[in-house]
Amino acid sequence: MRLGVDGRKIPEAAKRGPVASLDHGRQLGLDGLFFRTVLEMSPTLDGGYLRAIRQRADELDMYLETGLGKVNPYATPEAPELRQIGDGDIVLGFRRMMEACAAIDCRELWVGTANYKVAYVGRYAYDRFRTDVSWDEQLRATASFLRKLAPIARDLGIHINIETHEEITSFEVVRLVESIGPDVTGIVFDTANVLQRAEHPVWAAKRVAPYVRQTHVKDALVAYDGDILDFQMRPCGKGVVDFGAILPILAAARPDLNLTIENYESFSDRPRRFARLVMEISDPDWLAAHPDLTAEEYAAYLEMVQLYSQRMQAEGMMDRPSWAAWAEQNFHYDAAVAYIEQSAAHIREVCAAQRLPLRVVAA
Amino acid sequence: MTGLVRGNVPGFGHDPRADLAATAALGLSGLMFGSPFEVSPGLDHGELAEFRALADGLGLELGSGLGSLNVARPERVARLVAAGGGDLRTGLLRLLDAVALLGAQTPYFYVGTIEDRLSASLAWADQLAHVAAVLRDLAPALRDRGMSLLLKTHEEITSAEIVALIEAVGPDVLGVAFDPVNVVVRGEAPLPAARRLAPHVRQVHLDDCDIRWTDRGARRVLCAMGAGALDWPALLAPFSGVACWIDLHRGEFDMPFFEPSWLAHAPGLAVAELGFLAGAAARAEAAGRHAVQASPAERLQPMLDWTRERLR
Repeated sequence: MRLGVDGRKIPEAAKRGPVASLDHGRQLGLDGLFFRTVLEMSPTLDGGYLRAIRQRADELDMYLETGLGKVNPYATPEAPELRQIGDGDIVLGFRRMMEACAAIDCRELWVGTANYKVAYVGRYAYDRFRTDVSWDEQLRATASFLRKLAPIARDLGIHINIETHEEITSFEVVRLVESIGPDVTGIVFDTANVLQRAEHPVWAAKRVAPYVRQTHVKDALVAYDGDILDFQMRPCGKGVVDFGAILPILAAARPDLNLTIENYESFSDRPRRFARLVMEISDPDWLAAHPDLTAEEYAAYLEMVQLYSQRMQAEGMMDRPSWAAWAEQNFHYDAAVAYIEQSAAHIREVCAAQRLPLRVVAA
Repeated sequence: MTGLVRGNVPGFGHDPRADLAATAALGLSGLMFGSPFEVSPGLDHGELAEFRALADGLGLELGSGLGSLNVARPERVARLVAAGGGDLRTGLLRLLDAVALLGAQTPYFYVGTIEDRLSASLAWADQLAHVAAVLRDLAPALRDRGMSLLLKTHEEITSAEIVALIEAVGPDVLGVAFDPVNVVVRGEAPLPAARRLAPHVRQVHLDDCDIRWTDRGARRVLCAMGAGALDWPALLAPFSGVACWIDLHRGEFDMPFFEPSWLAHAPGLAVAELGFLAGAAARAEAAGRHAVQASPAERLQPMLDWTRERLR
């Protein structure tokens, strides 16, 4: 396994651009970058520029991962560039992106099922709860679109890897992979997003392990605000995610997996108000929208939250409102770098303690 | 009609006649005994009829329980068997005749205890099957007498198991004594449980509880009526005209659902209902409600105030 960082969220990513961000990642002691989409690397799919990124990654002996975009036909209108790059034909757009990726030997390609809607707090921030089209219909449409892409992927030796994104459960991602075929699809396991679907990250890791091909390694605070739960990102090791339990599962399933830290984004890079993410964890309708969730996993999740609450007190951790206020003021370049370094240190520590096959980068 | 279940009422339990007078003095309209043995240890017909006349004179209805009918555990039904001279069925018929003399045409019973459910030597499903067999056997005698039994939502049994028993025995002879503070002990949410049981509910037991987190899950702590986690107005909405009985419970039960072994004894438990416990515990914690369980003595007056305002 190798330890890298998110190519979109590494601080100053936009300012430095992909090539210099690779150098930046290396300076931070990391072994690779995972750019979310190939269009983020080159909006025109400029072959020369994409080759330059590949060349720099090779020179630095770093992994280079990327992806395609949203594959839910109800969400793709929110990303018009996907259709545009196919001159109006979105399947052609995906073919062009996949060919451009294959040309620089990026064959593990991230996709997602929807966009998180930061404008809303609560269930409507997640397209799972759209009122115009049911989540089941969206999943069916997604599967149908993926089936159109499958032959292209097969020709090019590509895996289209569906992220355990905020709106989708790992159960659903696994079913998508199994229905389209694991020869052309896989999973990007985001270790913290699953929390937003009331999934225990360790249980989710076990489910996705047979199909995991890319990762977003991240951690989160999950704590009660009344009878709902707040979700805030935290450096790995400082949240509820038990990497000591998850990493051996992933390493056993895919010893050459790249572990990509998805850091909290610097407020200088993306000025914004602090977005509040909540889970309506005891609301019967919200829970009913998670039909795969078992009482056993739900109980394990609730216990995890209780244990974390005790740990927050014992370690004197900053509470939710204080952290939110602090982040809005202070989470800029230095804080983002510290966040990445702290996360990396934790992942290395866990791997070392358990003798997991993580490549050690020479200082 | 709002009555009082005699057990655990402060000052009650020594003299049934004094308890009748005290019930009338509280302005309530009925008194429920745990079993007719409390009125007449020998089930003497003359004594029972005389007691009923006394209640009539005070304008009070009488109710009665039959105790546990878990025949798979002989110790639970020892007194019934003794009353039947060694035969359970004879004992049960004697008890039915006794409660009928009190005017209690729908006596309630419970199956057993949480320990029975968790028994390693006797499967809970088998215990329920034995109970069902006894009830089926008793059904013709109940029909002859124009009586029916009410199965209490006790802490060891789920609402789904109760519905299954009713379907096995017959809804004309088996109904439900709905006691919502108990359904939470099985991880069930009171309102969905009420909806499942609604067609069969003949009597409602009034009490309230709050939920607290523990290291192993949650705990039911009994509290003053109206101050707890139960939405009583919503619970009572479908049961207009159904008799309500104040029932001051005592048990402080844990629901250690963080333990896989506890969940193993809760097959079919719906996540959304477990969510009721989580929500109630989280709200109690957020509101700083950490108080321990209130005693029946502390809960009687708030209960009387609540029923006076809401029911009478």
